[in-house]
Parts: sequence; structure tokens; C-alpha cells
Amino acid sequence: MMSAGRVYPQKTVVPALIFVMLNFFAYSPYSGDYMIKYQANVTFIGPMVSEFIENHILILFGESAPEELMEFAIIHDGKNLIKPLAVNDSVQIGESSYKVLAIGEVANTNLANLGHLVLKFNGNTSVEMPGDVCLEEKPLPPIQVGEKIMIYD
Amino acid sequence: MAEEKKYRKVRIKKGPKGWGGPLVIEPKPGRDLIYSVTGGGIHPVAQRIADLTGGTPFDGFKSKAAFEEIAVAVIDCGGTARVGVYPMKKVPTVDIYPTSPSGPLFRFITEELFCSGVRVEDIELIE
Repeated sequence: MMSAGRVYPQKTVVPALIFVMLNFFAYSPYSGDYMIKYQANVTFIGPMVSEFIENHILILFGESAPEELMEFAIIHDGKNLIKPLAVNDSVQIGESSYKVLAIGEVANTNLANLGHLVLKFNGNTSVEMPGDVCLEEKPLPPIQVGEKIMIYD
Repeated sequence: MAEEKKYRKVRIKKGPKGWGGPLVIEPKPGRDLIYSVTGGGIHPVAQRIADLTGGTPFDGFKSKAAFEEIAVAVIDCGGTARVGVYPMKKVPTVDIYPTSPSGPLFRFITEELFCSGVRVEDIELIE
């Protein structure tokens, strides 16, 4: 009687645990196909962002950016850079996705410390400035508050 | 009467592969902030300028200040946004990275207002 009582829960607990773990791997950043390195939601769009859009550039900053930088920037709530960006990663903004072609030597530090990213949609495979991240040359995405930004490999 | 703060002057020259300058910075009463707009708190270059001049080190990512209060801005900008923003507001700007005028605001970046590639040893007291 006693031993049967112990066996019974194991039979249900183990499959339940496997089910939970399968779900965890399927939906976590570590799922087989790709890893999400950075995630954020747009919280504010500076009034002068359009000046940079004309030059095929988007400037991103985290929410601690001083006011004078917010003027030119897309402000977002991203916090953790899980893994440094690398060439061939993808940057997704809303529904549009862009392949990373080149990364400046300080771009990852800027992103990790300040949520700061300089995206240049110019198709270049080498950076002009150390903070640049060069992306495919495609039309810039429409940006609005609430839009999701995601970087994955 | 409050004791009047004494400020001193420094000359800041560009570092290896840097551009612009030299800048002469002298904080004044009401305009004495050494404004560090860098990742990870007050940058050693900003701290050095503050130590030599008697200016007040200030973290632009932690608190808010008016442009009129800033004696010099210290940035770690990779070349597009911050390099232009402070010169545009006529604030002398020191970039610790060796950037040259670029980005949509490049026309505001002049040798009189901007100096880059600056290291701690590129700052000297002149008075």
C-alpha cells in the first residue's frame, strides 16, 4: 500500500516535467533554431529622428539617455545584451528584418552599456565609424511607439 | 558669504588618430560641469579634467543639466550621434574615441569645439 502510493506520483510528475522542459526549450532564447540576443519595445520617438532617417540611419538609446540625445533617437526599454552581436545576425524592427553586414568595434559596448545602437541601412560590409552597425540596404521600417525590436542570430 | 570656488584652465589635445582641438577649458561659476555622457559612469578622462580644473564631474545618464551649465562634454561616441549633438549646442566636446566629423550633424563639428581620441595624458594644466 505504502509503496504504491509513492510510485504513482512519479508516473505523472516525470512526464509533466519533460513536458515543461520541452516547452521551455521551444520558447526560450536558447531554442534550437536561433537565439534572441536583445529585445526591446520602442517607448519614445525623438522629433528629429526623421533627419537621420533621411540619411538611412536610426539611432537607438535606452531610457536613461539625456534629453538632448532623445531628440534624435528612438528610445526603448531594452536592458540585457545576452550575447554580442555578430555579422549575419538579424535585426527585426516590427515586421521588417535586416541582416547585419558589419559591426564597429565599440557597437557592442554601446549597446550593452547604454542601449545605444547606430543602425546604418547602407549595405556596406565594412563600417565607416566604430559605433556603426551596417545592415542590408532596404527601405527603413515604419517606426512607432510600442514597436518591438529584436536581434537574433 | 560662501567661499568662492577656484577654477583652473586645462588644454586638451587630440590623441593618436584623433581629430580637432586643442581645446582650452576653464570652468566658470554656473558653468562648471564636466559632463560625462559615457557608458559606466564618470569616464577617467572626465574625472581628470574635473580634478585639474576644479570643475564638477557630472553623469549625463544619471541626472539632468542645462547646456549652459556644461563646461565640457566627454563622450564615448562611435561617430554618429553624440559627436554632433553637443557641438551643435556650442558645448566643447571631447570624444575618447578617435572619430572625425561625420553623421548628419557633421557640419557642427569644428576644431574649436571638438577634440577626439583623447586620453588622460592628453590633458594638461596651463594656469
